[in-house]
Formats: sequence, structure tokens, C-alpha cells
Amino acid sequence: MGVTERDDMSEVAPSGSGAPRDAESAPLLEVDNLSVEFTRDDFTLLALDRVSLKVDEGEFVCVVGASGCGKTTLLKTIDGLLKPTEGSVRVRGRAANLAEGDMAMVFQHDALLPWRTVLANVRLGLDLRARRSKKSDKRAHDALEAVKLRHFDNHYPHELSGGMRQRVNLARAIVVDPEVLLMDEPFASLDAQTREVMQTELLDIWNRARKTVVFITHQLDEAVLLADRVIVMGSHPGRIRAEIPIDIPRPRDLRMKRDPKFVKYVDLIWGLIEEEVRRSVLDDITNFDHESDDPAGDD
Amino acid sequence: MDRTSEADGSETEQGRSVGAPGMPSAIFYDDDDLVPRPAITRRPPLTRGKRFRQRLRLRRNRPILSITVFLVTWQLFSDFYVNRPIFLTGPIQVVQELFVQAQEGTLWLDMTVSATEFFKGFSVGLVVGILLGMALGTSRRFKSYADPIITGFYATPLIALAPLFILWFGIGERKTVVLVFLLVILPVAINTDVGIRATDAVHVELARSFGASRLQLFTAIRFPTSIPFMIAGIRMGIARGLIGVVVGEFFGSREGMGYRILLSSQYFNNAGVLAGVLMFAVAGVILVLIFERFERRVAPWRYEDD
Repeated sequence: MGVTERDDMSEVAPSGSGAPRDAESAPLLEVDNLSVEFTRDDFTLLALDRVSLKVDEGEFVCVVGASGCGKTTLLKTIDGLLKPTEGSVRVRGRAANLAEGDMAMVFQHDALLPWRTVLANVRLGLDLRARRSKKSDKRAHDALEAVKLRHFDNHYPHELSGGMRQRVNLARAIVVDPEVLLMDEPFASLDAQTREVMQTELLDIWNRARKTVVFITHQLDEAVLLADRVIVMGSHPGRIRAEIPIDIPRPRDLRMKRDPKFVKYVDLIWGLIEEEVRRSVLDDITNFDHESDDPAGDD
Repeated sequence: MDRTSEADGSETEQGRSVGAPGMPSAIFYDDDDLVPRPAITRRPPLTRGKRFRQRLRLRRNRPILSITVFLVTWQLFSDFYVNRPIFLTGPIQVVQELFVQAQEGTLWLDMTVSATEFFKGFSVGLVVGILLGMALGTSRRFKSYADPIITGFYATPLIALAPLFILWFGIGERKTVVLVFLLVILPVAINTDVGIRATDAVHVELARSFGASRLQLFTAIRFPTSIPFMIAGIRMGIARGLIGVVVGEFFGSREGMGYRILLSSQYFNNAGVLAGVLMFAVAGVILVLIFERFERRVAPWRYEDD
């Protein structure tokens, strides 16, 4: 078990039961020297500072860090929702394109459309990408089956519980069959027990599909349970400070959270971010005008 | 505390403790002597009297009850307290008056004239209002130009212009239609604008993450968000449009329910005035009811409970 400092990127290898790496081929997702600045009237905030990250096909990467460290900014920039000031995002060696459907995002607060039924919510990506066909409904239905949400096709979101809504949120992303699945603290708003159930179900789904996932979380045990590799970010400006290959065999389950090795991973990550978390908590208290993860609020 | 540490499978006063010595243990409260109780008990069927009273209290019966009470109070008030038909007649006399008007043939004629004026003005006002609201809601520039004018007109009692409308549009149907149109367009436009602006930024982000175009952002996100607001605006438009019909017909008309009200009042025919007012009230209620039906079809996600 160890921390790889991010100065020696070349030596970093995904570990354990992650996807096998072919040294020759380009990684599935390549984030290269990415910087994002937000300009206000009288200052410029450097939210991300020269962030580089490679993710292999089928790899599950978790990103952790204190509030305001730019995790969400990183995810939105990868997705194409935010334009980087420098650097690039590549998928299979070519520039990532929002319209191509390289990525799909699972949003933090499920962001379901209240006027669409569950099935129509899941179908949204297919509808918008003009791939609406007779098959769309079938595909949406299958995606709902995959997240174990049957018999709710024609319900409206407000009729569902928090956990069910997150299942729809997840189904909506996987139905478009993206190269990379981006997940922005998808379980943060769920209660602790529902969250653990959702974690195991996500593991199940991932085990079957082996999608490439970039997953943001505040829960360190969630990161260790899910990830092949945990990326630790630091704040002000947002940088990648370290990465930790998680060498715990798969399939994993909740009982492993009690495993001494598991606990050591969590402690290791906590040690890396503790200071900044404490500082960000103080920032919240002393500075009401605190910059959130997403200072853009654009459109 | 004493009991929990007793982890040797022994019986205690309250329960049975299980577990290996020195390990955490639980005390189970499975008392065999306790008669089990069901978690759910069905309520016994109601007696006839109770059932009748309950049906009376049903939500859909409430309007009937309140209207009946209102009409009876009105009748008693006019017959026994006011007691002078020139000042106030009761609902029975009003209905009699309607029968008279129907026999004379004016009722049907007046109603068709008024209804035609209303629907002409309302439908055009609705379409233009929604389009105007969409323009306001999507273009910041257009809104900053148009907003002061629209707010100004909305705050102005436009019906005060009715006398001038005779000058501009002549005697007859057209001036009433224009008045209805002007009264309907503004609440519809303003509410549509507010609705489009109520769009959740997260929903916009969601659609963009699926590569939505600007047009798609409008059709898939902004427009559906605005529907409930638009509906509230249309409701206001119905009420204001009916006012437009009455006031429009007060000035320079020879037919229509508004003209009939004016004429009756000049003859001190109290029942005639109230008959006209009643017809407008009924028309308003019917229009809103029809509209609520329609609302449930276009915005079903807002009506889950009944």
C-alpha cells in the first residue's frame, strides 16, 4: 500500500484487480495539463492548476479532497460543461466532444425532470441526441432493470424515494452507453444505510459492464470500497496531490470496510487531506462568501 | 447493565441472552406468553347514517353546499331584509328574468355576441401573450427594452381606455375584441416570462451534458418548466378577458350581455342587471372548469393526489 506522489506520473500504474494496462495504447481518458480559471470583476480564481490524469479502460477512479478543492470543476471540465483555460481532455487519443456522447454525468442532486416520467427521464439523453427510435424506450427500460427499478416506468419523480431517484439518475447516464461515466457525489444526499446499499449495487453494475468511471466523493470509505485508484486533490489552487492504488481484491462487499487493510487505506487518505478539510471547515465559518465547488453558475 | 454482561445463554427476567462469553451479546425480547397483535386493523364498515354524513363531507360536494347556502342567504336577505326589488332581487326573480329574456330571444343573441367577442380577443391574446412571454424569457436584451413598457401597461387600468376605443375602432364588436385582447395578453406574457426564468440551472446543465442545442434547451427544459406559470397566467387572462367584454359592451354597443346589463340598469330592472352578472359568473366558472381539465392533461405531474 502506498502513495504515489504526482511528480512521477510515468511510473504510476493501476494496480490490483483493475483493468490490465497495455503500455503501448493510449489510455481511454487522458486529462492533460488542465487549468481552469474563473474571472470575477476584480480577481481571477485559479480553480484547477495543471491537472493531469490518465484513466484506463474499465478503470474505476475516485477523486477525493476537501470542499472547494475543485473536484466538481474537474468533473465538469472533463464532461465539457466548463471550458479549460489551458490543457485538453482526450478520449481514446482524440479530443473529447460533448456532442459525441463520450461522457455521461450522474449529477449530485439527482436533477430529475419533474415533468417527465421515470422512463422519459432515463430516455432524455437518447431524445436529445436525436437517437429517439422505437428502441429508445426499450433501452431505457433495460437501464431501469439494471438499476433494479422495475414497475416504475410511468411514475413521476416526486413519487419516488431518494434512493429510487438516484437509481433513475444512474440509469439515465448508463443508457447512453458513454465511454466514461462521470459521477459527482451521487450518493451524498442519501441516508447512510441507503448509501451503502447503493454502493454495493453500483459495484454490481460496474462488475457486469466494466465501464470507465470517474467518481467524486466525500466519503473516504466509499472511495476505497469502489475504486481501483483514489486521486487525492489539494486546494487553492486545485491540484492533484497524490494517488493511491487500492489493492483490495474484487468483487468487494460492505464487510470489507471492517478489514484492517481497508481501514488503513482510509486512514492514509484522511491523513493526506485532514489539514485542508479542517481549514475548509474554518473557511466556511469565517467566510460566508465562500467559493463553492462551482463558482461558475454559468449559462 | 448486569444482564448484558451475562453472555452465557442463560435466561433472564426479560429475555434470553445469547453469545459466547466475553463477546458482545444481545438480549432478545421474544416473550412467548404475549398474545400477538396484528400491525394493521381494518376499520369496521360505517353505519348508513355515518356513511351519508361522510359523503356529504366529500370534497366534490363542498361547492354544491356552499353555493346552496349562498343562494338561500341571498334570497332571504333580499326578500326579508332589503324587501325592495329596485335595490336587490333574489335569485328566484333573477332566474325568472332569464326565462323572460330567453322567450324574447335576446338572451341567446346576447350570449353569442359576448362569447364571440371573448373568444376572438382571448385566443389571439393567448397566442401573442405566450409568444411575447417566450421572447421576454429567452432574450435578456429584449426584456430590458420591453420590461418598463409592459410593466407600465400591466399596472394601468386599461379598461379606462374603453371610451377612446369607440373613437378608434368604431361602434360594434371590434373595440370589445381589442379590449379583451389587451387585457389577456399581459398576464399571460408576464407569467410565461417568469416561468421560463424559473428554469433550474441544474436542469440546463444536465441537458447540456447530453449535448443539447440552444433550441433543445428551450424545448426540453425551459418550456416545460414554464407550463405551470403559463397556466396561472391564462387563468388570470380568463377573468380579465370577461371584464373586458362587459366594459367593452358598456360603451357603444347595441347587443351583448354587457349592453343588456347597462340597458336593464337604465330601466331600474334590478333582476335584469343581476341576470347579466350571473351569466358572466357562470361563464367564468365554466371556463375555469374546462381549463382545469386541460391543465391536468398538459401538466399531469402536478396532480398526483386525486
